[in-house]
Amino acid sequence: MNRTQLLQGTLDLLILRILELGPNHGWGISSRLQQISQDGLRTSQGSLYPALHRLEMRGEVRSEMTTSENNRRARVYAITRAGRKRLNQETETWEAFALSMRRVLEEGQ
Amino acid sequence: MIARVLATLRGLLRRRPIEDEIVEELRDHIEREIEAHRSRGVSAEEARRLALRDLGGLTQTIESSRAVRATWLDTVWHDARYAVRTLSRTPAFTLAAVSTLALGIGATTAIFSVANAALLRPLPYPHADEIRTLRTMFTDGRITSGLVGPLEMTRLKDPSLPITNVAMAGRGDFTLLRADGTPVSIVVSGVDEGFFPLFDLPLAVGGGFTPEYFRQNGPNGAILSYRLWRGAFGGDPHVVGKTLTLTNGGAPILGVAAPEMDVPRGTDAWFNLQLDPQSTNHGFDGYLRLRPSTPDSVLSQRLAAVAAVLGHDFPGPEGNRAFLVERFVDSIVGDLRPMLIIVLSATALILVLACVNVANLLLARASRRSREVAIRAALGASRGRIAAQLLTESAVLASAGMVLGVALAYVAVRLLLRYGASQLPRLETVPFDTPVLLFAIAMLAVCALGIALAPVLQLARRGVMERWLHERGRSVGGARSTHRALRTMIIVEVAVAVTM
Repeated sequence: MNRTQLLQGTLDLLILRILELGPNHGWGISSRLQQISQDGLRTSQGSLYPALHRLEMRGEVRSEMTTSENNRRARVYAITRAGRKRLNQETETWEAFALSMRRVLEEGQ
Repeated sequence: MIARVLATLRGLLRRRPIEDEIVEELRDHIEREIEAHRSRGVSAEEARRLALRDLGGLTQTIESSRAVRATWLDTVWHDARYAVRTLSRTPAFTLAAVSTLALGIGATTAIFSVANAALLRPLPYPHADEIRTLRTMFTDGRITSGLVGPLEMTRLKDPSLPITNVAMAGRGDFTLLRADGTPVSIVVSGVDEGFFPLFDLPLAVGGGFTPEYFRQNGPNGAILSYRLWRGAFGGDPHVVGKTLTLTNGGAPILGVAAPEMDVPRGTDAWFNLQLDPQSTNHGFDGYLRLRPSTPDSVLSQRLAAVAAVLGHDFPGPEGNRAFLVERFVDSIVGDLRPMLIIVLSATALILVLACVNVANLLLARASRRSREVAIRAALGASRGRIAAQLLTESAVLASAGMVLGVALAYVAVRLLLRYGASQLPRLETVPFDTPVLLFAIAMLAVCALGIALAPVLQLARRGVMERWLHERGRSVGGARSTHRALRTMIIVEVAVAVTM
């Protein structure tokens, strides 16, 4: 399995999960995603930023402009309480969905 | 939910344009990506190419981020700026529309500010809603002055009644002699012991009446109104102890009332009355203060019982007499209330006329602007979006009309007061306070919706956009539906004019 097409809506879940590990900027989120999924999941970077802004408008992440090492300004995102709540809910939904999928596929064999 | 509201608010407080921030963020991303490629040994040029490729279309990314971040306020702001630009390109139309709306909003706001001053503004006395005026009448149809007497007021002091204070005042015209001997006609009111405590305003100067002033053969004294003090005594701070000289006597001045104190209306000075508490002489205005949160029906019942007992005890002067109570503010304003309501309704009709006229202008313009709307629709603007734009445009017109109208109203009311309206009760001052401004803003909203209604309805009708596309500016008089709308407006106008 490589370069899975991301299911609609799962990008939000992945972003929230990565931000749960700690605040990060956009590039960091995208490289972290590749790293953790061992290159199995790759976001189109073009959809990452609109997704981050959408999450921010929904109040599930918040962002801050920071001046980092070697004087570079970067927008750093962090998960909010509302974001954690949604992450928990969606993780449950996702796991239930994955379980059902597996049951159906294994039954079919 | 709260998190979402906060995020929106943060968006509104943002000072820099959205685009700048998004571009800055993406630049940071590209730089990091290039560094990452470079550290794996890729050439600078290749690293740059890879980074840009992975990001997808740069403009597209910026646009979709912008679309997510833009709030409805950004849209309104954008539409408003567009409306101002379009309107400033047709100054004659804009001037006509704005001044028509200014007249409509100005007239209604002016009349409302008067109604507000007379009817809505609270009276200056503490807990004035507890104050009632008291009159009497004969249930058998005999004529009476309606005034009350000391005996009745003494009975109302019964602590079992839901009444905390009772007071009497009698008004008379007197002549004041100035220090240089010139006479001035003034209104003097004699008051009983309960009077100043009932209205509960602290004196501006001096100590006022003590209980001994109301005993038989006690001393005499006078309290000046603030107006008389400023006028005839020049605001003298040492006025207490001087004498108020009238042509038929005089009394030492004990103090000056609060500037707001104006009961009975127009009184220039108050004297102490020394009354026999059992007198049945009906010669006074009666006032009472209700125990807080007592319903008026309870008061009426209790007063009827008191009147019955009085009629039994004094069948001559008190037989068949009943008490009448009125809210204090009503007793002051009197007939002004229905009059103001009629005038306010009439000016509301003027506002309707103004709106109809401006809507007319807008419709005539809309048929000329059909091309612009058709192009916008062809470029993918939804009907809702175009309607919102039309609404914003009329809101811009109405806002300009409101600003001008409120200025007009302010000047008009000042002029009205100068030419005699200040003789009317409670209209010594007409403030432009929060209720008046809120009213003006409400009128703005009504106008904006009212004048946008016709063009928007036209837009909503099926096929109108397509027809606009076909008309393509060659039509001069506009579509048939425009004619129909214009005819409807003429009917409305004539109807309103006839009503007025």
